[in-house]
Amino acid sequence: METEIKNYELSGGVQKTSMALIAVGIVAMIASFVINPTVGWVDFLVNTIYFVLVALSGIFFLAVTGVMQASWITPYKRIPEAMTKFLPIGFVFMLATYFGLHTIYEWTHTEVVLNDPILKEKTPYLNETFYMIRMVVIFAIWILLGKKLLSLSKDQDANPEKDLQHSIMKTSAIGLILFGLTISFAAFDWIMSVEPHWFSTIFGVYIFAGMFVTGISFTTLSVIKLREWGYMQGIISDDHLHDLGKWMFGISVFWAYIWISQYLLIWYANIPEETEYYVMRHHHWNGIFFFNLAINFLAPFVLLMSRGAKRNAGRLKLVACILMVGHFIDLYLMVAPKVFEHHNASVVGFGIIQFLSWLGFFGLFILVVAKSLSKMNLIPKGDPNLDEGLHLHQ
Amino acid sequence: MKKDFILATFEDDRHVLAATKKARDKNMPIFDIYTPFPVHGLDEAMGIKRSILPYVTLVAGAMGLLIAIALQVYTNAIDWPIIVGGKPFNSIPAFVPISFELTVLFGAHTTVAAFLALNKLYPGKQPHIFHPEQTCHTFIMAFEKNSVNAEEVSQLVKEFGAVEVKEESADVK
Repeated sequence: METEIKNYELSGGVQKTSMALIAVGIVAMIASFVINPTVGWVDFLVNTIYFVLVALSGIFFLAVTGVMQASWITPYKRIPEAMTKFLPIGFVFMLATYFGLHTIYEWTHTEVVLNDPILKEKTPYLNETFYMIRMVVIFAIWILLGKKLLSLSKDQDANPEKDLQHSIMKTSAIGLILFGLTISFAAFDWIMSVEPHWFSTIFGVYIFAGMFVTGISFTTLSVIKLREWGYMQGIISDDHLHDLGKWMFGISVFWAYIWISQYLLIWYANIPEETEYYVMRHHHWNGIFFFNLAINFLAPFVLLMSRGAKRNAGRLKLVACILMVGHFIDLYLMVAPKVFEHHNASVVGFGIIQFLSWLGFFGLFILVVAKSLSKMNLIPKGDPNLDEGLHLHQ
Repeated sequence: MKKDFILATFEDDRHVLAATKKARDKNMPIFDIYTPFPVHGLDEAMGIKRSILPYVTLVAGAMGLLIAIALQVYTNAIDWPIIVGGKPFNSIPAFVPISFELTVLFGAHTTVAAFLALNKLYPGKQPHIFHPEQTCHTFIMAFEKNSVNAEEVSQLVKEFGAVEVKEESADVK
C-alpha cells in the first residue's frame, strides 16, 4: 500500500476556482469600502480574524494531538499543517487593519478617551503602541510555533529512524500554554475592545469554541474533497468521517454551552455596563442574533444527531458549510453593531456583500492550503501513530 | 429448558473472525460467540443488528426536557408566581440549565437501565460458562444443534483452525 499513496497535486480547477473567488472577494471589498469605509473596515477585520482563527486551529489540533500522542488525526494531519501556512498572510492583513484602527476602535480617539473616566483608566493597556506590540508578539508566537511543529513533522518523514516524538510532545505542551494565553489576548484586543466599556471574562473561551468549530469544519470539508478527488483512497474510511462528524456535533454543542454561559450570567446579574452588549443586539440585530443560534447550534444538532448522518459525506459537507458561514456571522455580530452605532451608520445587518467578501478570503485560504499541501507528503509516513490511525475501528 | 449446543474452541481471534464470515456465507445460524476481549469486526461478521439503545436515550432525553420545562413553568409561573431578580415569571434563559440537566439525567439513567435490560443483566445473574478459559484466552463459537448440520459445522470450524469441537447441553437463553 505504501507505494500507492498519491501525493496531492494542485489542480488547475482548484486554482481557477480560488482565483475566481478571490476576484469576487476583491470586488466585494472594494464595493463595501466605496459604499461606506466603515463597512469596508468591518468586513476586512472580521474576515481577517476569521481566517486567522481557522489557521490557528491548525496549530491547536497539532499541539493537542501531539501532547496526547493521538492517532485519530494522523491520516489527515497534513491538512491542519497546511492550514497554519495562512498565518503569515493573516499577519500582513492584520497589520493592514492599523489604518482602520480609528474607524473600528473607539479607544483610539484621544478626545473620547479624555472625556471618559473609564477609558482613561484603561489607557495603560488600551493604547495603539501597546496594541500593535501585542499583535506582533501574538503572531510571532503563532508563526514560530507553526514552523516548529511543521519542521518536526517533516523531519519525522525524512528520518523515520530518529525518535522525535519526545520533542513533538515538548513543543506541543509549551505551545498549548502559549496558545491558551495568546488566543485570550487576541480575543480581548481585536474583538472585545471594539466595545471598550464592556467586558466578559469568558470571551477568550467563546472565541476558542468558534475557532474549534470552524477549524474542524474546514478539516472535514478538505478530507471529503480530497477523497472525492481520488486522494487518500483506502486510507480515509467511513469510521474516520464518523470521528469528524462527532467532533463537529460535539464542539457545536460546546460552543452553545459557552454562548449560554456568557449570556446567562450577564442576563441574570443585569449590570448596565455588561448588558449593553446584548441590549444593542436585541434592539437592532435581533433577527441575526437568534439566527446565529439556529445556524450554529440547532442546525448541526439536528442534522448530525444520528449515526448515519455522521458517516454520510454529503451530510457532513452540508453541515461543515453551514457552520463555516454561521461562525462568520457570529464573528460579524461581535464586531459590527458597536462600530455601526458609533458611526451612526444606517447599515444594519448582514448582507450579500459580506458573504461575497468572505468568499474572497475563503478562496485565498483554499489556495494557500492547497499550495502548501501539494508541497508535502499527503500522508505523514514517519509518524509512529499513523498505523494505529489507519486501522481505526468503531 | 436445556438445549444442545455444538461448541468450537479457537485460540486466535483472526481464526474465529474468518470462521464467522464463512459460516454466514454458508447461511449457518451462529448462536453466539464468546470472546475474552472485543474483536473488531465481529459484530458486522455475525450480522448483529444495531442496538435500539440510542433511540431509548433520545426519547428519554426528550421526556426529561419536557418534564423540566413543565416543572419550571408550573412552579414559577402558575402554582406560586414569585418575582426573582426582577425577571418575568417565565424566563427562558433561567430555564436553560435545569432543562439541560434534566435532559441529561433522564437520558443517562434510562440508557443505563435500558442497557442492562437489553443485555438481560441484573444483580446476581449467573452467566453460563461453556469453557473455563473463555474469559482468558480462548474463543468459543456456539451453534444450536437443531438448526445446523453437525458434520458441516465441524468441518468448517476445523478448516479455520478450531482446536476442539464438542457437544454440550446447557440452559442458555
